[in-house]
Amino acid sequence: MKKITTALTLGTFFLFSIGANAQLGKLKDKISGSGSGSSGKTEKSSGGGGKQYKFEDPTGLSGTYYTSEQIIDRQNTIGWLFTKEKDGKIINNLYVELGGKGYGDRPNSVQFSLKEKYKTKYGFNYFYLTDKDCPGLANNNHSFVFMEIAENTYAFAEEGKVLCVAMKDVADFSTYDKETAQVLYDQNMVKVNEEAMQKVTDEWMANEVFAKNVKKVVFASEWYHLQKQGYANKMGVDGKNFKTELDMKGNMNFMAFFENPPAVKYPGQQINIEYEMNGVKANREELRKSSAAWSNMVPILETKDFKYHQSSVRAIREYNQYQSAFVQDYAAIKVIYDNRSQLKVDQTYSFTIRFYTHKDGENGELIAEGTVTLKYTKEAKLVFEGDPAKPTVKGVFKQFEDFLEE
Amino acid sequence: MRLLLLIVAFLTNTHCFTQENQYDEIAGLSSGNFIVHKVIDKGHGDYRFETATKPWPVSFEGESKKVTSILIKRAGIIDEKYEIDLPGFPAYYVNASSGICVSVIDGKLYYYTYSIKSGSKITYILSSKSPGKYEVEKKILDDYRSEMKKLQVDAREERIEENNAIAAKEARENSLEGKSIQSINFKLINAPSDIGMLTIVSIGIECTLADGTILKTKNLGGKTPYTDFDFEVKGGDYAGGDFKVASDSRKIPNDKIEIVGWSKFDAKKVKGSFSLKLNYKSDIFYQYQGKGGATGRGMTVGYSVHGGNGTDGKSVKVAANAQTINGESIIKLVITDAYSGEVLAEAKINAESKVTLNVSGGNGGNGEVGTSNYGGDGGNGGDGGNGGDVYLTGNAVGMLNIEVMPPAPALPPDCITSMLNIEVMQSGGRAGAGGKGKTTINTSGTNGSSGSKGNLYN
Repeated sequence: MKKITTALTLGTFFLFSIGANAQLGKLKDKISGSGSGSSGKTEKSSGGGGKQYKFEDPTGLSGTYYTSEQIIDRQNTIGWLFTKEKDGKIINNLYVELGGKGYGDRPNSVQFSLKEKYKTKYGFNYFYLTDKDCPGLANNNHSFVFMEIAENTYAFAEEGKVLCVAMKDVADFSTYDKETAQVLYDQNMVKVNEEAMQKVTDEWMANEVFAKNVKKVVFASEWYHLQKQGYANKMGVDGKNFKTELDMKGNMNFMAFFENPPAVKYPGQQINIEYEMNGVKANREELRKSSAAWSNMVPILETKDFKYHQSSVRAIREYNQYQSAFVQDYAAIKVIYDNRSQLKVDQTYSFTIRFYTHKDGENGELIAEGTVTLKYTKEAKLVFEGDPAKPTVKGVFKQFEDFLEE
Repeated sequence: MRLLLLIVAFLTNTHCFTQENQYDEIAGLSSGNFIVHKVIDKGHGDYRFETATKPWPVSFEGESKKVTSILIKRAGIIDEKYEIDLPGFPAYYVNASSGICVSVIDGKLYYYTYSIKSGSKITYILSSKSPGKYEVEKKILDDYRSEMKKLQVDAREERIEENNAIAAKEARENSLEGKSIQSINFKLINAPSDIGMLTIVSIGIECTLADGTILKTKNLGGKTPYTDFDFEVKGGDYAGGDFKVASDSRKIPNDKIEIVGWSKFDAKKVKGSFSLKLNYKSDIFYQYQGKGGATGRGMTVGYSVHGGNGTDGKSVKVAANAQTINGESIIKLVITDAYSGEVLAEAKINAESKVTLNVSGGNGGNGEVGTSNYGGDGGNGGDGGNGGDVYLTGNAVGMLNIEVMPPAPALPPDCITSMLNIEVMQSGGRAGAGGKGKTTINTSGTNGSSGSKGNLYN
């Protein structure tokens, strides 16, 4: 019995030591569950009890809220004081006292503002951080919010991740744990993001160039005729320099316009690009899987990198100023190479490019397609077959043959 | 040692051969509440599992040994449906809108996202069994996905063949190959009111077969490839259903665009034709700018490379003469090289439109920044090229509203609506900046000189 008593005493002392040494600066770790074990441990709840705040206002928002996890060490409750109007002006300010000691004798506190749009359009209160008086949040520029997930129940989230649930009635802890709160938070944000995405799509569709070319692949001799530098998320060109015919001697750039950003519509998938000329087809994914040389030459394209309504500018073949060399998509060059016996000077050839979604070795949806006429001029012949006057400079076909022999 | 290798080989093989598809993995499980182990990110790549307070209901749908979909009630309140990836030999179930996958392995239901580059990223494991370390669970899942991909080859090939057969059938039905053609019609799509040089016009093709079937190209809602047709075009280029009007009026005979098209498979060459008069209402841009000088870049031990000089903008003569074409007041511009006399372009522009002529000098290249220990001085910047001169002549010069960039002369606003606007860009090229010396004892390269602005004569 004596041994048990001693063990309990030591254990209690140990627990108090941890509590006393915990610093407010560890706020984020604390409420996101650090310190709990690796496997099989359950979430820690602050439970009932705690300081009662005598805050009130006519809307009923103010008062004492119990938190599912302690925001400040040994503080199971927080106090809300909501001020709708001040000096005849609507301010929608939420003062939240977190308890404990902050700077000097002041209690830790944070201030939030109500996002009225979310309340009127989506029907939930959403308070975003505007000011802080809390060492635990020092130098922290992350966005902290309180989002209403049920009546008198709020998810406290940092950068979209729910840290704890705050509610007026402790009995609600059994219904709204952190996990549930995260789901409800995500569900509300889906509503907000869906509308934001639709707004973006509407803005794109209002652009005549995009509306005329959506789900199409467009072509130009210069990359900046397809997309304004630094404006991957906006229409920055007027489409006047899009081409329906390209001289094969020079740059052959292309870009796809998507109905929806592939990253959003097709998450977790890849993009495959297929090229076709005179019935001869090749696609990046099949070639990539055919050998190590092709795998190195043709990198994987993932939908997560296609975040906008237009792709980045790609090229069948383009002179890269920085590298002082031509950059080529060898899958496209293969199609031209396979047609080499058909190529005649000053003849034109239809060249089609298709963007597919791709997963586990299978093409999915065709998301953009375009056809351009390629002209095999006298100068193009020298570029592709080599210039007899410059025997040391390899033509494109010779370069490609060297690659195939790797 | 040999015994150890044998044991390792045996265990490896056993592990490989025990990979079962999802039908078999799920067969031992029943719908019901599952304990949730969620992944907590501790930072710096440290992920740990933590058990949630509430279990989640999971329903396996379909036959008991052939589950085709899984319904997870996330946190007990949100329905999430996961559909089978490959019914012939499933490796996972996926939610189409979120891309989240679920797979059951050895009684554990993994809830994760998957990237071909980085493998799986587990969010939860739903199971009465306690999960191991995150890295171990991730490896089990990645190995499973990788192994299953190999085992799925036959089933996947079968599905690809089925899909290819459907696509081939559709292609045959929509192709013109082997079909008797009665007529070919071109159709203008969303006819633009302003059609001039460089305008792109969508034109679809409708092909009526001898049996009355109508096949259409994609821009008319059909699936007949544009490449099934051969064309003769005047006034521009036509490809992929788009006609781009030429940038030089010499290539636009009779001030209209024309297309004649036929099936490339049709021995009789049944033809359809299309023509459209132009009103030349489009703004155009002519670029005769000098080239920029190269940036000094060599990384050569001993010295830094100077920036190249920009070249001068081309000096041009522009003859502007008024005409009436297709009932519109048109100004014909003939642009020639002021020194060689070569005709660079001929343009026809509606008086309501705008022409931009850029004859600015090219910018000088920047000098290389001093980098070498032996010669850390910066390279000199290149000089900017001079702007070209522009000479305006012809009976329509008085009708031109000329805007020189920079600076723009102040003109009364009413002139702009009544005259053809010409914007002339003829500034000198910007000087290249000298490269900085590597250290304070090294000298920086000198900046180049800016090019001088071109002159406008009219």
